Amino acid sequence: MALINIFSYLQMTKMGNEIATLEEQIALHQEIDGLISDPILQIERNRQSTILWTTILTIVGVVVGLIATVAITRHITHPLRAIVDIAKQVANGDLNVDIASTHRGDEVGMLENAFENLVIGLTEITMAANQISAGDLTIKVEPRSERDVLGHALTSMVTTLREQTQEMVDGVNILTASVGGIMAATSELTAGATQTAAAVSQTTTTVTQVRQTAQISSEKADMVSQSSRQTAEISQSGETATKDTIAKMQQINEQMKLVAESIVVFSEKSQTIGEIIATVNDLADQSNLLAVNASIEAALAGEQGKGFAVVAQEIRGLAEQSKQATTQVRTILRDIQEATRAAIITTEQGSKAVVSGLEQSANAGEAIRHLTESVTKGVQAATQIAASSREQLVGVDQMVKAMESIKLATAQNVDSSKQLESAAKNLEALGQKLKQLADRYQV
Amino acid sequence: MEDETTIDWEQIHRRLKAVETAIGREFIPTEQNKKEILRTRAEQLAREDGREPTAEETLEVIEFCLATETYALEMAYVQEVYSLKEITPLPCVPSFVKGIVNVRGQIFSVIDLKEFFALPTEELAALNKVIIMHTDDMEFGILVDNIIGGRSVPRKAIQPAPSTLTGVQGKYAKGVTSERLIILDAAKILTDRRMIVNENVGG
Repeated sequence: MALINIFSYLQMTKMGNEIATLEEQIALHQEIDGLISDPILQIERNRQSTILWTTILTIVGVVVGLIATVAITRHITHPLRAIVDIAKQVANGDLNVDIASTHRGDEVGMLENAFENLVIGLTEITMAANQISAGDLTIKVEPRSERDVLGHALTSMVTTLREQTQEMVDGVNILTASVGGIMAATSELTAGATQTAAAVSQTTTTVTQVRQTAQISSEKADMVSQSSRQTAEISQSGETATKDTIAKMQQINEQMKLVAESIVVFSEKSQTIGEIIATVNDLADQSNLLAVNASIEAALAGEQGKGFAVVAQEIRGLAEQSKQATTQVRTILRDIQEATRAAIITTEQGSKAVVSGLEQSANAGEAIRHLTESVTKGVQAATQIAASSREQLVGVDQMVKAMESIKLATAQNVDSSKQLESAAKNLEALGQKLKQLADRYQV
Repeated sequence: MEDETTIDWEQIHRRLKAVETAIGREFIPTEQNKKEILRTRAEQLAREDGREPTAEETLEVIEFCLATETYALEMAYVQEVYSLKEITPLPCVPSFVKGIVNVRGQIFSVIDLKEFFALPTEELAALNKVIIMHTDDMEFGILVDNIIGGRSVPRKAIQPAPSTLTGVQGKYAKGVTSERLIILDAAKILTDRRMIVNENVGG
């Protein structure tokens, strides 16, 4: 546009020149008029005498002047007006003008030729500018002369433009390539960041799960610790109870011994009774014999012994009763003996049961003692487990927090890389646009 | 279940106490006991006929056991009964002569009636009794298993020895009562020739 304006300006300048020339001609005209007027003025000074002449001359002069004016107007003003119109067109930027050359040798003809050359030059320059504006920088603008400022300016402008465009194209190419690299790197970065974010998300989830598991583990460990402590108390009380049981069992054993001894003493007493009974039996026997002998004596005594015989008979009866009583006692003693034996057997069995009970209680005590030891160890282990679980939980908590931070940072990373990617895309678009712009130029 | 496992010591103590008191108490017959005893005795007395049997009508005998049988000997031939404590065997005598005994300084020979009667013999029991018999010129002891005692047997009740009693027993039996009491003829035994021992050792 600027070029066009410049052209217009130039054309206008040219037209200005033309106008100046016209004005000069007008001034010349006026000078001619002045020259014509001068006699009139002298006539004026001799007004009275020359008024007639003057009037006649003036009328002749006016008529001559009118005729000259019409002739000049016919011969000079019309072509000049046509040229002025063309100049106006050119000044308006319209180069599509038809200069009808009159091939006159005069100034008008020369003006026409000059105008024609001007329009041709302007047209060439316009064409060149059109080509440049179409992006063809391969054109060569031949300066019309050494002093063709516009041609030289156009040539240097084309050259400069060509060089700059070439540099721009090169830069755009480098930019496009770089942007491609940046795009690829950014894509990779975004993909990496996304993958990292996904991995971090998974890891966070896993860590959260681990935390829950650790929580449960910690609670369980606490529970185990508590219950094993209770178990330890129970087993200790079991141990005490077993010891008490053993002590009681030993007491029972002692008492069983006493019972057995009492029964044996009782049995021996029964034996003494048996001996006494034997004596009584013997006495009864002897009493019987004595009674028989008494009755023999009574028989020998005859009638006088009759009463004695009755006494003897009575004694014999008593002896018999004693004998029967001793038999009964003996039977009872036998029963007692059997009962005693049964009691002894029962006591023996009881004692044996107590002894085996003692052994079993001792075994149970030993077992419970072992149990207590194991349980005590278990309690220690459970306590340690609980402590480490708690520590683990704390560690996992820290890890969860760290993972949250990492997650946040990763999300930011992803955002940044996405922004970076979109920026790179914008850059790529810009590069493409630049490339398209640059491609429009043929260097 | 509680009752089965728990011993009722209360009851045991009560029973023991009862036994203690029963043992400690002297036997004092109650009115019931006294009546019972008196009634029994009255029955016994009532059973005997009121008539006093005379010496002619009754035979005073001593009952004794020999093996499974009950025998009796006339009391007139019996001097004494004696519980055998020790016996001194004699050599060169028939097998039925068991030995000699010392009764208050008197020496008697002792005859085993079971051997004499050829009854099944048993080992000499510790409680064996000896009945010392005597006539005017002879006295010896017979070994019996047990002495029941003396009694009076009505002469009428004595029947001749049945034919089932054969052999040696039949020979020495004086008679049999209705209660199957075999009354031996002491005189026959005492005067038996076998009793006179005349053995020449080595002769």
